[in-house]
Amino acid sequence: MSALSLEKLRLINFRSYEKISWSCEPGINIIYGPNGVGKTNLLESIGYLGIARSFRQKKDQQLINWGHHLFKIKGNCIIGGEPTEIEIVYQKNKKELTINGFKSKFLQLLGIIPVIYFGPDDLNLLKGAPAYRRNFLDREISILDKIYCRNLQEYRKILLQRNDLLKSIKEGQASKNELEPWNIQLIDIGTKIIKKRSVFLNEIMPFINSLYQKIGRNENLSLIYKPNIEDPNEWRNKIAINKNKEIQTGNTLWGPHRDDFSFYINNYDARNFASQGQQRTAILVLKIAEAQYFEKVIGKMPILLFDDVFSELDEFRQCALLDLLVNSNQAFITTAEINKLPQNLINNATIWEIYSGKICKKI
Amino acid sequence: MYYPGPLNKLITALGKLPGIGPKTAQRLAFHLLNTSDSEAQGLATAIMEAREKIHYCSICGNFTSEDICRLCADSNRDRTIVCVVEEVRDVIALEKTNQYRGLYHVLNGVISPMDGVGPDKLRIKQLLTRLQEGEIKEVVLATNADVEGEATALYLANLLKPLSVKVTRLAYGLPVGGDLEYADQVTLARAFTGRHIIE
Ligand SMILES: [Zn+2]
Repeated sequence: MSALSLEKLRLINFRSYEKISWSCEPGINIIYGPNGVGKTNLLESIGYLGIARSFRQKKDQQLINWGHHLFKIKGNCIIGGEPTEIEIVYQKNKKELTINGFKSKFLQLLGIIPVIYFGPDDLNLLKGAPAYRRNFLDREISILDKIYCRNLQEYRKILLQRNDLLKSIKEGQASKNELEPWNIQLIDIGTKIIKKRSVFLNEIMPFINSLYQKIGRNENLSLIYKPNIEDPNEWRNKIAINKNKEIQTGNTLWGPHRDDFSFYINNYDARNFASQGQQRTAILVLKIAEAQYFEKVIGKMPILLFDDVFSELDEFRQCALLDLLVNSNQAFITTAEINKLPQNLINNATIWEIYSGKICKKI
Repeated sequence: MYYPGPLNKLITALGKLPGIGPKTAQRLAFHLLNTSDSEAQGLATAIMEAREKIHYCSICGNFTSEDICRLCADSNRDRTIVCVVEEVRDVIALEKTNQYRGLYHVLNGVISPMDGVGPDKLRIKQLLTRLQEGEIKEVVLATNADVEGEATALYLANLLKPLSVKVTRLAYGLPVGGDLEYADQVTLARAFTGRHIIE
């Protein structure tokens, strides 16, 4: 087990921050300030160090502070006792990554600073559109598995190319026999993605089970993977039989880009049959399970980013989250009302206040 | 307009070159203005001469100043094996490995529907003509390891299946993105020795 913590965060023109240099603390950091002051932006920048993307699904261009043309995020971490510096600069539609001063590819970043983000929007994981859940799967598995991430990039490219070709065929500008090379790759790479999604959901289940038993009071929570298609032979047949349909629509109709998974509580689909409280618990459990699973797989506890979630939870669920926090190396928790946080959390944390773009320690 | 007309024209022209942004274009233009007459003339002549004298080899598609290129003309090279690559620069990358002694065939591109490039836009007919002559026994598909390179290799493998030639693919354990040009020589050499037959 190697401990991971962020020591220093420097931002230039990132969101609401023109320029800050913040020396945060190991353990629990509570960040408070009124709504709209930039608390989530701060968590977003830490998350960005983990996957070089915004977990709010925003385009990089939108992350630049208004009126500027670049943003820079620099993080100094201690990983298993070793100092590590990561810097990401975005300008002119291009990102550059340096790790310890060396220009690096983005795949190399994955897994160095694993982060788990938990915010109010995460209820969409249960209630939102399938794309939300696919994004979740892709982000989490990519952190654990660079090959998965590369396969995803390949798959997206194959889809773009194949859909373009389907349209060209419809317009009579290409012939049907040009499809086969793309079909082969679609199924080959697609099957790899499907397998890894299935493995991920299976492996995270034991963590979810034992957590939900504790918090959910003798109920059962399970995540059921619903692949759009699973068997490569069946897939090949579908494509062959429905060739004209795909050409007519100009769209690839089968594949993991149409996957989904569902939450079941005691064998009922939680989206339709669970109470608001049960749904919140399910998401909470998923997040904690993820942290535990990450720790097991990559050997370090991820940095936890909890965005204004405590006030939504009852005392019982707050306790579960506190348990996780106690076992973590570092966590960042935002809130607009500090008096709504559990007292024993406040007692064990460093408190920071944000105002007019600055972060100040409260003593 | 910040610059007098002719200077503006030069900057615009330089800015159209690949990898040259407006700032670099400006710097190059200023440099060219400050350089000696003979040096500037030398550059202009070099550009015109290269354009005039360099063309594609009528056999393999490599650059040459003769009718056929140095590699196709070399009687010491193995004429039973041909290596199919996307671009001329891939020929150079493979030559640097000193691993390969056969012939080449440059496709002049790669299948990419998004860019409007189908098989008919590549030098595939010329490849089939070469194969019909019967001397070639093995075709090595050395397109890049990205999805377009792979699609091109799969397309060719299927096309060549009825012919009595062995079709092999480079054993890519190549770096991410799989650009042949950027692979180091050891990796490329290894990819060559480990090439496998496409079913
Ligand atoms: Zn030649």
